[in-house]
Amino acid sequence: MHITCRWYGTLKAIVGSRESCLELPEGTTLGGLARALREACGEEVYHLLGGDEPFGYLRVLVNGRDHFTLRALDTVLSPGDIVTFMPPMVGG
Amino acid sequence: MYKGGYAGKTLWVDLTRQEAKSEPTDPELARLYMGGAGFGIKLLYDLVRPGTDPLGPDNILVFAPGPLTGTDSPCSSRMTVTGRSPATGAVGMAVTGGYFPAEMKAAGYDIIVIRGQASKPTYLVVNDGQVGFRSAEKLWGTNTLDCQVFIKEELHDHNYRIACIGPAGENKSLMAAIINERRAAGRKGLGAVMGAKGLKAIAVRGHTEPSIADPGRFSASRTQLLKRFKSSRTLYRGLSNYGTSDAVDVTCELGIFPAKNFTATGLFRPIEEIGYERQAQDIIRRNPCYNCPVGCSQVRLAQAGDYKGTLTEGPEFEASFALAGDTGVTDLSALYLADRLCDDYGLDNMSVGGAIAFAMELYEQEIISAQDTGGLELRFGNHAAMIEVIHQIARRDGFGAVLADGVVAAARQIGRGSQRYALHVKGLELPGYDVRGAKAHGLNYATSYTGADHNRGYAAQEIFGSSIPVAVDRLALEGKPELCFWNQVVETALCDCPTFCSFLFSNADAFLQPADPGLSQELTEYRVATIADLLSGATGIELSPADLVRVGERVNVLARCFNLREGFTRKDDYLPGRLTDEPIPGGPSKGQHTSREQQDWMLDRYYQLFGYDARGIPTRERLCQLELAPVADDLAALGLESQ
Repeated sequence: MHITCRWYGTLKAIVGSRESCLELPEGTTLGGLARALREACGEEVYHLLGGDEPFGYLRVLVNGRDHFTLRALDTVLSPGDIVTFMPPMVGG
Repeated sequence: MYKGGYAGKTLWVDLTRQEAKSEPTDPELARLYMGGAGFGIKLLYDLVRPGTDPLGPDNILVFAPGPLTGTDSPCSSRMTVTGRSPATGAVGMAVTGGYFPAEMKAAGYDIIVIRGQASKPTYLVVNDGQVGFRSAEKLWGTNTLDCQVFIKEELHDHNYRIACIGPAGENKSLMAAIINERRAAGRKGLGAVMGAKGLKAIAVRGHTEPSIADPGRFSASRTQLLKRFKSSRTLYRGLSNYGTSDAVDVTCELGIFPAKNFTATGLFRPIEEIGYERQAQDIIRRNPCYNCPVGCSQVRLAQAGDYKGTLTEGPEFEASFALAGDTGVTDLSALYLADRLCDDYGLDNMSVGGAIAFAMELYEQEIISAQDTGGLELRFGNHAAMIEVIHQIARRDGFGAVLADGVVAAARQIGRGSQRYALHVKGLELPGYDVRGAKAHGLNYATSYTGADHNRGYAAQEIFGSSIPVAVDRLALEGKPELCFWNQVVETALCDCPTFCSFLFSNADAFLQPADPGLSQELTEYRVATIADLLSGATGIELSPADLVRVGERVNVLARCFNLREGFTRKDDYLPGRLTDEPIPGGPSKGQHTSREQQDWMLDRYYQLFGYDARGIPTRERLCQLELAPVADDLAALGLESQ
C-alpha cells in the first residue's frame, strides 16, 4: 500500500523534501513504518525519529490525528494515509 | 496587605475636567482580583452602569499591569486594557506587552482609570507620579508610529513609552486597537473608546522598580521558572526562532487552518507560501518585550513579491490567518503590508481580515458587486483589493466605511441575507482556528466573556498536542467542558491577572510523553504552584495554588455577570451557523462540525462546572463562595436569579 510521510524541521532538511512516498505491506503499523523508514531514509532519520523507541518528543499525526489518540505505535495504517512528523511546535 | 509587587498607587483621570488624582491601590482589590484583567473587570463592573454607551463619557478604560510586571519575573511586562466593548457590548478586555506595562509600573501606578471625554484632542503624560494633560490637536490624524515619535520629541525624552490610537481609533472604527510600540491591545474596539474620549495617547516614564516582599522566595521561584524554560523543547528552539508563524503549518496539518471565510478549510493550505520556514527567511531581528528571554516577536522584511521592501513587526499567526488564509491571499509581501498597515492605522488585524473575508465571500456569491465596492474586485486572493480596503476602513472611505465596524454592523447595513456569512460570537469575528475540528477550543470561542477570543482559554492540548493537564483527542466531545473550564480559569489566574505571557503558559513545559499521565499531573500542579509562589514572594500576600485558581474563577464569573447585566444570555454562547451546520469541506478534518445538540451538551456541563444554572446564571451560593454576594443582589434586582 501507498503511504505518504510529511516532514518538518530538521527531518525535512535531512530528507531533502516535504514529502516521501513509501510502498508498505498491508497491515503495517506506525511502529512498522518507523522501522521501514530506517531503510528508506537512513540512520540519521531513524535516530531523529527516536531510534528503537519511537517517537520521543516528536509530534506524529496520522491523517491529522495525534497518534497517541489512535493506537500509538500499534495504529494500523491504511492505503493512502498521510503521516506527518513535526518537531514540537507552538505559537498561536 | 501587600508588601511588594505593586507600585501602590492608582491614577484616576477625568478627561472632562482635565483632572487627575492618585490614591493608594486598594489592598482588598489586590487580594481578590490580583491585577490585570482582575482589576479591569472589577472596576468595569463597579463603575459602568448597565446600558452605558461604550462610546460615551461614562464608559471607562482601565490600563492595568499586574504585580509581577516590572519585577525580575521574566515575561511579565504584560498589561490589560478594559472597558465596555463598542463592538460587542460585552466586557472588552485586551492584553498587550512590550515595554509600556513595565514603564507604567516604574512611573508609580498599578492602574490608570480613564473617565469622561476631552473637549479637544488630548494626550496624557505620566512621569514618576507627576501627571499632565497636553494638547494632541497637532497629533490628530497621525499614524501610531509617527505619534509615538512626535511625543518623544515634544517631551524631549526618547525613553517615554506610549500607548496611542491611530486614525482608525480617531474615526471610531469598532475594529480599532490601542497600539504601544508595535504591540496591540486589539480586538473589541477599545481604540474607538479611546478615540471617542478624545484621548490620542498616554505617555509614561518612571524610575522606580516595584519592591519585592520576600526576595529569597521570589528569587527561588524565578530560578525554577527559568530552569523550566530552559528545558522546554519549544520556547527557545521554536518561539525564539520562528515566533508564532509555525501555527500556520500546525493548523494546516490538522486541517483546521480556516480559509476563505471558513469555506475552504482543509482545501487551502498555503504552507510553502506563508508557513514558518518561508517567513523565517525574512526575519531581520527579534524585538522582545521587556525582560523576556524568549523574544517571539520578530521584524520581517519582504524580500520578494508585489510589496517587496515592506517591513513589519510580525505578522503573528493570527494575522497570517486573517490577512492571508481567511482572504485567500498567498503573496507574503501583501500579508506583511496588510499587517503593517493595521499597526500603523491602529486596527485589529484579526477583525479586519474577518471583515474583508466576509465581504469577499459576498462578492463571490454575487450578493454585492463592484457597484457596492466602488469598483473593487473583492475576490478571494486579490491582495491589491485587500490592501486598498484596509486604507478605506481606517479612513471610513468608500466601501471601507461599510466594513469599519466589523461584520455584524456591515451585514446589518448590506442586508440581502448577508448575516449568514458574518462569522462571529457575541459580535467578535472568529480567530484563526476552525474549531469544527477542535471541540474544547470551540467551546472557548462560544463562552469567552469577550466574544470569539482564542486567548481567554486557549486549548493548547488540541492545537499543539500539549499534555497539560491531560492529552486529548481534539475531535472528541467527552471531557471538553472540563478542559475548557480549566483553560479559562487557569489562563486567567496564571496569565491575565499576575500578569504573565500566555504563550509561555501554554507552551513552557507542554511537551511531555502523553503516555505518562502521572507526569502530566505533577507538572500541572507544579506550574500553578510555581506561579503562586512567585506571586506570594513578590507581594507578601500568601497565595496557595487553590487561592490562585479561585482568583481565576472569580474574575471569569464576574465578567459573565457584567455580560448578563448587559442582556447577554445562553443564546449568545453558541458558534455561528456555518460552524454548527456546515461540515469542514476537505482535508484531515473533513466532515467535522459541532451540532447545536453537541454544543448544548457541552454547554450544560460547562455551566455546571462554573456553578451556573441552565440559563448560564450563577447561583447565589456560587457567588457567595467567590465573595461576590453583592453581585447576587444586583442580578436578583434585574430578575436574573438562578433557578
